[in-house]
Amino acid sequence: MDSTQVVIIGGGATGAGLLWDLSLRGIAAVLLEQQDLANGATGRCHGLLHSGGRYAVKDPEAAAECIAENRILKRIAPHCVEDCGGLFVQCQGDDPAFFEEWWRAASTLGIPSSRLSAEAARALEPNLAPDLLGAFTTPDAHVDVFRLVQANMEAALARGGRVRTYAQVRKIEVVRGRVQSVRFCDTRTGEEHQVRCEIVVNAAGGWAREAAALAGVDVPLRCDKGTLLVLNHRLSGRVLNRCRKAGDGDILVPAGPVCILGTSSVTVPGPDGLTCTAEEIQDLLNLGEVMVPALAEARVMRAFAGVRPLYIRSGAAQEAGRQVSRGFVLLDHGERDGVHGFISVLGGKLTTYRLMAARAADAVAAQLGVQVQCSTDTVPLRAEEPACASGLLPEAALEKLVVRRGADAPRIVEAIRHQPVLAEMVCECELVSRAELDFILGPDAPLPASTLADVGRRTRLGFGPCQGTFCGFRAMLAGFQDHRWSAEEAVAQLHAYIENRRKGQLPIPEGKQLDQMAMGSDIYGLDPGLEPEVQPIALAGGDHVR
Amino acid sequence: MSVDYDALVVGSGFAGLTAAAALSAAGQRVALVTTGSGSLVFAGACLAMPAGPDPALRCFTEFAAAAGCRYTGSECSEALLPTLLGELQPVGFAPHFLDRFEATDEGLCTVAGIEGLSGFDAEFLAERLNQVAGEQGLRRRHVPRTLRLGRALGVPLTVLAIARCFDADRAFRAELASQLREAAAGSDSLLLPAMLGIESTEHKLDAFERAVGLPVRELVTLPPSVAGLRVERLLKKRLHALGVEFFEGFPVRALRLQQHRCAQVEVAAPARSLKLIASAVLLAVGRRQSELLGLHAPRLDERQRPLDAAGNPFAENVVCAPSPAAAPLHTANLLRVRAGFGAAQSVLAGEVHLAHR
Repeated sequence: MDSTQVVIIGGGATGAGLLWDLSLRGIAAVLLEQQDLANGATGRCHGLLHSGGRYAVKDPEAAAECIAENRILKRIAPHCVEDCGGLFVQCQGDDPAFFEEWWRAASTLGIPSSRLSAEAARALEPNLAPDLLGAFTTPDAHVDVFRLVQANMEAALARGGRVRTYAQVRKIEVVRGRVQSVRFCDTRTGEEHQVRCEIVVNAAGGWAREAAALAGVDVPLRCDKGTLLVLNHRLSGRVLNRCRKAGDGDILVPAGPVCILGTSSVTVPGPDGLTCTAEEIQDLLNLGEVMVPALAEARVMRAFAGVRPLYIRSGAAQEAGRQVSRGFVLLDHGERDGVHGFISVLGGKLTTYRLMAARAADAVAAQLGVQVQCSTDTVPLRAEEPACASGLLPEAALEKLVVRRGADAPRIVEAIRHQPVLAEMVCECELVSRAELDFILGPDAPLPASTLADVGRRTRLGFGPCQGTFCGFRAMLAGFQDHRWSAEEAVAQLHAYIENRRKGQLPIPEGKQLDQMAMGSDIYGLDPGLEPEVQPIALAGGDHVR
Repeated sequence: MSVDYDALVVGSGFAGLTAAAALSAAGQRVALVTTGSGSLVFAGACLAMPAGPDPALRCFTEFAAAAGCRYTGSECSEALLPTLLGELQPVGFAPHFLDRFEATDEGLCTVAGIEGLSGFDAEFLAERLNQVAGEQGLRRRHVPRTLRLGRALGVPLTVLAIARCFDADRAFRAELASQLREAAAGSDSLLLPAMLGIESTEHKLDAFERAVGLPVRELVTLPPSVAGLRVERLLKKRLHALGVEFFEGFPVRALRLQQHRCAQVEVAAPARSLKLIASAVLLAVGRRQSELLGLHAPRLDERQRPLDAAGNPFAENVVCAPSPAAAPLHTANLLRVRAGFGAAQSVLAGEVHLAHR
């Protein structure tokens, strides 16, 4: 039987961060993720790297954590962060006393901020409402969540960490009150595997309750759904937050060529099968338009949603989603439930993933008697960017390749030297070359890709304006030519890819999008599935939007 | 008052070209204003099968035939056309050069790919077509061959580059024919990605086929599609020959109204606006319609004139070929043909009224 010291359940930011932290402490770990990278809240959030401004007034402890982590992440993972800065916007009709409270709180917390007049704010962000009263600057930023998770995983892999995707845990074997091993199933092949371990960490986020149940432990969770909208223009250059008590639809985050408006808070039974109605979407837009009236003209490209997994502490059963603390929780199930070697880490937000992972790693290290302290706050996720031969790829494409692939970039460029045809751009929007695609699909890829969507998450293929209509086909053909898939399997891949892309695409009467969907189907001969009136709208993750 | 034209058609997709053809056939002096390519070039310019005899479709297919781009199909049964993914897609009418599956076909088809060609793989397609044909009880079999072209036509190699070379270079056509003849030896037919020139008429393709020595059919690739471009070019050439005057490359900026008539159409040509005057204006501009009229999704009256919110015609002499709502591409194309034809009939009826005043 395979064996390790720690099994981590969940391949989101927390699990990936934990794998990296443990690898730096020399602790052997295997991460099991039931789907692909960042399938839960990590891949379905705003991608906002908080400055803490949003919590400054109501939850200063959370705010302090945020600003500290904001600085750390910009230092350890600059290639994952679009450091665009933010504004906390004072809108007409919002409470002026709150603006002053905010200013004091931000100052107390040490969140770097300056006060702007309405004119100055609008000079920076012309799409802000004409009647705004002013704004405060903040160091908020946008994070590429898929790149962040990959960066943690790849750094860990280089230090002996192991990752298995499409690995669904079936049972956590507990003998005489102690964790012994984990049984899991490879969902692609149906094969069952087992790995012996001393500790299991439940970092399964929205699925944490299901995961805990596999060890016979109950972890009560409320799943709180947040819906987000992707707009087809970059309506702001900075993160825009409404300066008021946190509510729905009051954050707009720029994400490359698009921007993301969110969010909402609705209790749902679980993390799967998320949907939204046209009404929810319109409500979000109405709220956002107070801050940025231009939202009324912008086209919604897609909607997506994720759940915040909120731990229900006993005695606090009925609190609504926003009031429950966003702080995270570490449960030692040995103390709590008599299952030793089982730890759950729950709640939290993307911005504090590293801290959550650090605390979990501290608990693991303590149980294993390992004295090494956490160093993820100082060790960069990526060593220096490597030098690559120039002239084989256009500059812009080479830059993107290096950011995405880091130390693997030079060998990809060398492949082009040997076979110039590999310079062909499979995805022209995101400048993904055939050489990079071959590498991602090949045996040397650090995180194997099984589907076209997996390829997308590793390269951003299909994330741009064409939304994968054509590059998805070219990528599929590459998979066939590289002998990854038979012709039949390749077609099934494209079917699944197109189907998944459809989720969250909204019926827009004048949408170019509808043309694209139809065109893609007609060129391929697939069922177009044009059902504009279907409600509620089925949603998938935040892929293809950033 | 003196006018330049009897009818001004705006748009050169299926609707605009059909309208221009119908108007021209009725003896009208027609101008066509277009920014460039329309709906034809998305894919293979195919049309869904109509429910019964369809005068608009007949007008279009006759026009296409006269243009050297014969459409084949029938009004009673659909043809099955293979797609890039190896699916078989039911289609009503398609340009003659596109491959289709016949139920009676038992032969061997060589699927010929080109080495280094982006977006097309002969082995993939042959494997898929064998599978799909088998599933549907069709007996045509497929075998892949990949040719290396004797020309360096750029990296990555595209069907457009090949098509342009095919158009310009007789020696290339001869070499290609000979390579294909060799590759397909022993087969009954040949299937290629659509790449045999944008300027190729039916006549030229027949000649090529004779040089190869067996039937040669093409398959629609990712856009821009050589198939669609070829059809568009041939149709426009025919309209030229019929005396339609083209104003290509610039959008219509505005329709200038005077006393409920469109008196002038302003085209945003560089340096100076071009002002065109016509008795009737026919808008076949797809999504741009709302912008040009300043009306969002207007209703049309029985003469296909757009109505404003109060229910009055936008202008006495402006008709629309409405853009189809969400529909599969081939159906949308048929609807566009009908919309263009209908709008043209409306203009002709209007002319009759004018003449009788």
